[in-house]
Amino acid sequence: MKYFKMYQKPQILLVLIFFLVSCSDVLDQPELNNNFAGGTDFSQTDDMIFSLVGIYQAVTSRGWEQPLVVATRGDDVNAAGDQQGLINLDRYVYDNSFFGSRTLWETYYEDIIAAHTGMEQIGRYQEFADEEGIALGNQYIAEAKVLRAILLFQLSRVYGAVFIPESSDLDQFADVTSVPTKDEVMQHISDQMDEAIPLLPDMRPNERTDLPGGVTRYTALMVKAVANQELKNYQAVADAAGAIIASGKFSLFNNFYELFKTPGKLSNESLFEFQYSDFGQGEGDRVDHLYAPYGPNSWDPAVDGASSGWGFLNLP
Amino acid sequence: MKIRGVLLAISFLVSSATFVYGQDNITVTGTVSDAMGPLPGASVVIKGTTSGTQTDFDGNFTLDGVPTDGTLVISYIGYASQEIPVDGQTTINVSLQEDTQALDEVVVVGYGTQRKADLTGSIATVKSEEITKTPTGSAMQALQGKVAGLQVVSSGAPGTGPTIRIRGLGSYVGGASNPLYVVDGAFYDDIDFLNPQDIETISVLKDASAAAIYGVRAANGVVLIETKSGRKNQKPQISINSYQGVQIAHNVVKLSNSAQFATLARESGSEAEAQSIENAIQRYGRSRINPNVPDVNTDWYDLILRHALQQNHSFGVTGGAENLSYSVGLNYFEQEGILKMKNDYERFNIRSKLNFDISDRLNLGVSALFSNATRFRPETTAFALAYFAVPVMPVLDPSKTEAYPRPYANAQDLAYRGTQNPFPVMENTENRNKTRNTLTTLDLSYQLIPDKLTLKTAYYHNFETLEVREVRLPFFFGNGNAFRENATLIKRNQTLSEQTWDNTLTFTDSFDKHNLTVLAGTAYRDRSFEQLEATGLNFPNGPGIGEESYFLDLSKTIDVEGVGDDGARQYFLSYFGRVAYNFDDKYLLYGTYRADGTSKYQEKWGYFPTIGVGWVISEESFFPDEGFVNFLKFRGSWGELGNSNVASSTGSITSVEVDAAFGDTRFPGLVTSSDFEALKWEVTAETNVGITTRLFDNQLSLEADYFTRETRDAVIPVSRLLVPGETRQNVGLLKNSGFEVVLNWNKQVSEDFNYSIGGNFSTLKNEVLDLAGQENLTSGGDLAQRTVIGGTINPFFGLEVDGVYQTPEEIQADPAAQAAIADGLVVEPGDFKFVDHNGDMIIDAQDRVDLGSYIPTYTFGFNLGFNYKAWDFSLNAIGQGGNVIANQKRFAIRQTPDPNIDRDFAINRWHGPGTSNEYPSARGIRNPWSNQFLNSFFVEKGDFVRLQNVTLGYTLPQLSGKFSPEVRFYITAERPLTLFEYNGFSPEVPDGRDDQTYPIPGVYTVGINVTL
Repeated sequence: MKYFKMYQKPQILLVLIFFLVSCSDVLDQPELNNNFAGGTDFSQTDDMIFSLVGIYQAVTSRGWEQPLVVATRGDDVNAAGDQQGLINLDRYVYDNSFFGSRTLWETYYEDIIAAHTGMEQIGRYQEFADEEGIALGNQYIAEAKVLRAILLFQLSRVYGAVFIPESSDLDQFADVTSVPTKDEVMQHISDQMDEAIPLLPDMRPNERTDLPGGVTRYTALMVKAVANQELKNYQAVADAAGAIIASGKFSLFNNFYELFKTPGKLSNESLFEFQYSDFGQGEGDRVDHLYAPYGPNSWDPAVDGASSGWGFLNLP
Repeated sequence: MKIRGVLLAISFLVSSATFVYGQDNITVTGTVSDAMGPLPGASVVIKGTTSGTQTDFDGNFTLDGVPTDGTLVISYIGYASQEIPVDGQTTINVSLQEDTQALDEVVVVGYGTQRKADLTGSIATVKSEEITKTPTGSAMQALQGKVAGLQVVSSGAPGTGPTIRIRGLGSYVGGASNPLYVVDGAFYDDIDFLNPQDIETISVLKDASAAAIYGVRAANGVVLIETKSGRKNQKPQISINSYQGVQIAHNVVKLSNSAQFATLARESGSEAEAQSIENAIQRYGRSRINPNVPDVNTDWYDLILRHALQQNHSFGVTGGAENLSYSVGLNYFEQEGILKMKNDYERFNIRSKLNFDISDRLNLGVSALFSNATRFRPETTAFALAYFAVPVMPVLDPSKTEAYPRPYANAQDLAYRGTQNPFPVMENTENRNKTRNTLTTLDLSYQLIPDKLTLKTAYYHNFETLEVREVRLPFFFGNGNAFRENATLIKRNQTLSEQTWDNTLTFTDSFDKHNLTVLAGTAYRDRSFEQLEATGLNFPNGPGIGEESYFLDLSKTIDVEGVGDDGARQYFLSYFGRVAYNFDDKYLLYGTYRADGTSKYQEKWGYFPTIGVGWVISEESFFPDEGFVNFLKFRGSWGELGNSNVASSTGSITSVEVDAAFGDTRFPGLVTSSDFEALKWEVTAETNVGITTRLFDNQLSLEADYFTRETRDAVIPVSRLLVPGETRQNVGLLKNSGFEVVLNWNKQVSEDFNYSIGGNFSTLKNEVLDLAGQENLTSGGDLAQRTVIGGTINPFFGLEVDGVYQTPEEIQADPAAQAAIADGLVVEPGDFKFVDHNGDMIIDAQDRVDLGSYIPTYTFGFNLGFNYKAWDFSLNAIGQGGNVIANQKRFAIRQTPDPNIDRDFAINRWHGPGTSNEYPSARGIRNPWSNQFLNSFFVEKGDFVRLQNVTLGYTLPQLSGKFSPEVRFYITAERPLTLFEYNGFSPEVPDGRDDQTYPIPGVYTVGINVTL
């Protein structure tokens, strides 16, 4: 009791001030140096394209070993050089210690999931978009479906039965008991293309001005054709391929030697390209791919500064 | 405590007046002092009575009515009491000695102090005298072997602190097991910036009951550092401490010399390697002693190491007047590195601490500490390069006129695949870290009720800047493609600003036999970090051009990819309270509670309770007073602690900027993550039981503890479904448990001679209890480490060697070897024989087993000291065992072309039936069959015993007269002798992976302490 008398008002106030460290919202501050996808302003419909470009980047940036694995296993080429894993793959021997087999599975799925997150982001923009924006979003999603289908198609050609992700939520695979067969995967791809085709621009990829070389209706038809070829559904192949030919938009490039060089980029022959560029700089920053494994080895190029390749492929 | 002293003093004063004394009573005056000067408030009592007084602010006392044949008892908390026979003297001056084992001693417990006798938890305190015995720039190094349950893994590189683990490894995440350092109230991740001479005490709060007041930061233990302060009414005391020493690398690994290496190369089965020896003979001549060996014999370790200097100079003044106390200090420390390149550390510290009584009730404290350190980081890759470099090549080859900047010898000239020479990298690289650290604090305390209720508010600001400058100058070997083309300059600037505001209200009272202290407080912390870096190429460089050109502005190119920045801002908000209660000094109760909020994780708030109880059985009436047991306390505690050392999580999906090409035009894009991490802190629940006892006239003290610490919600990586990578989740469960015992014997044999012997021993069991359904967590790449349930964190994982094949018949008879041969591998005599653990007659990845952990299962320390007249001597020894080290240098032979190897291997290698059943042949160690996986040959025992410190001091007789400095000279040998079996420089490897570990040198110093 006697202590009470010793308190004076200013002192009590002091105590209160000290103990009322304001419990403000500082604890809810986000981690710095992050671009929070959830914090994006989805009403900016013009920004929607960033997510689409991101999907193109994810799908086209491939490690050097992956086209080799896909092409060898797809029987387009034969393995060569000292890559035992690739040689085994050519003989249909699955070798789980070969890094190419592992990275193909891992990074293809990573990029398929990236396509799903991209589509989901575009969907969020559509919620705030006007009619025009919604239509554009639908086209972007259709493009993403084609890009995703290209990866899934190659993955199934290498491994046969593979999982079909339906969204970016990885928990969907927590209790999976069966794997879709290769036929189911190919049918899924064909169905996806049927959904995408009407939403895509009716032009050659090189006619696109917004994203030159981007996916068009004919890219989807091409994917549909090859998927049905795997299904041995030859009528559907003929229909899809026929639709491309009937458009009259495509013609063979006049110089086969140059087709796979710079002059052949985005030619009228092209249904879709994985695009790389040094943006005309010749040095510095670029969007690139390592071509050395494709090149024949043990020869001296006449061009100064050029070197021979790794020789991991032979044409059959 | 203070209150009781005051009450006691009042009662003395009152009672002394009531006593009636006989004729032979006199008045005695005098001064009580300690090593630092007069001691105010010391108690002076006539033995056998309650009559006495206290010394005044100048340490003086006057006591009436003292019997001429009486005895005065002079005592002060924390000091050994003295009994002085009066013998008719009217002036008695007494100097009290600090009593290091006194239970009346007050220990720092965080936001306050507590009497040692009242502790229910496990706290170990190391004092300044012990700390400064170790010649080191990092105070924590001085604790090695001195605190049971504290593992200190030394670091040899100048300016880098040791790795500290208190009671094991409580987190799976690397680096997240570091303790919290609290310097005079401010939080730190390490205390390498501090000058050890400025430290008064280091207290290690080991158990939950002790550490829990620090809540979410306390899970790995707390290290409290109190810097030196002055005392009121203390005459100014000036102290000067200086030492100068030399560091010498001990236990340097012996590499194969040219003759041994030539034999290894010729036995390797590689024609190319044998030919390289011939090439070396061609190039450098033939040895006249052994014609099969080139006339070069380079001992690379000998050449890259040097004796290095170490020096330290400190100057300090402490003192006080009636209303204030002060302590100021200056310190300079310099340590060269034993690696022969610029890897030095230099630190200049300046410090002040002031305390004023503004009024009877209001006290103000201010302190400032500035530390300015420059550290040149070593190029530790030199240690690996030197290990592999062939001895048949010199450092410099004068014929290499094209080489730049010096004619470096190149192993490629002998047809080796690599250049091998470590000197170009060492001589053309300079990594400078400039760290400036300031800690300023201001605290104000006000006694709302005098001596009972105190309100304290304290503000701390720790501001640190780090400027990194990495310079890589070009060099050229004169041929081939081995060169460093560009001069590269990396500049990276970081600033860290951390502000803390603590408020506490402390109530202390004693009534009847109840003693109570209650504390309530709040804390607010704001930590912000910024970083900016850029890389420039080809600034002016060459002979005669130095650091004046190390600027980005002078670089021809700025590397766009090398430009980056980073930042972090974290907030912490806490409420905490503590109750310490003791009844009659017999029954102790202690409890704390802390609520911590942090912005670091998605779950913001954590609540951390703890409780401790103690029973001082020796205070009970039934306890025999006259027995050999002077003090006996049982104590137990339980509590929960948080670990917020784990890196923060985003809690939401994020996007990264990417570029894609469309028709040769760059389009910016975003890739959004599909999942994210949402973490909370790890929670450690710890139970500790222990006893504290003092026996045989308090000469023997014993402290024993048993603890178990269980970390739940441990952050572990969880593999993502379908896609590569992992996310961190709070789903692991880990456990550490152990036993600690500390024993000390102190004996004052005579006035001239006293000695002490002590030791400590601790055990540790680290166990993983849950991995959330995952079979194992594997890391470490080639040098695999795999965590499984029931094992330790990250033990090494590989094949078990079962000897060496001696004959072809033995291989013929072994189906596992035959299976390997059928698969295309080569197995020959001199190759390892492996244990087929799964019994499938094939040796493969499935036969790998746990090869041991890098965490020692026991550690110990021993100390011995004596003072004889002016001489003082002390000796410390330490040791540990039960851990293993992966000899990564030896194992790396599998991916290192044509390397040298250590002499131990060269001597013991298998080279014919019966020569070794342990070491493979020179061919075998290179053979994929023998080295395809990590195996038990490459994982060695890490046990060691070390003579840690020997110090001999001599104090000069004090001069009479006014100027009478105390001068002590001493010599110290730090780490003069280490015994171990491991084939490396040092058995101290923080993570057990010995690749480029900097050797830990012995240090020999001569020093002087002067006190005025």
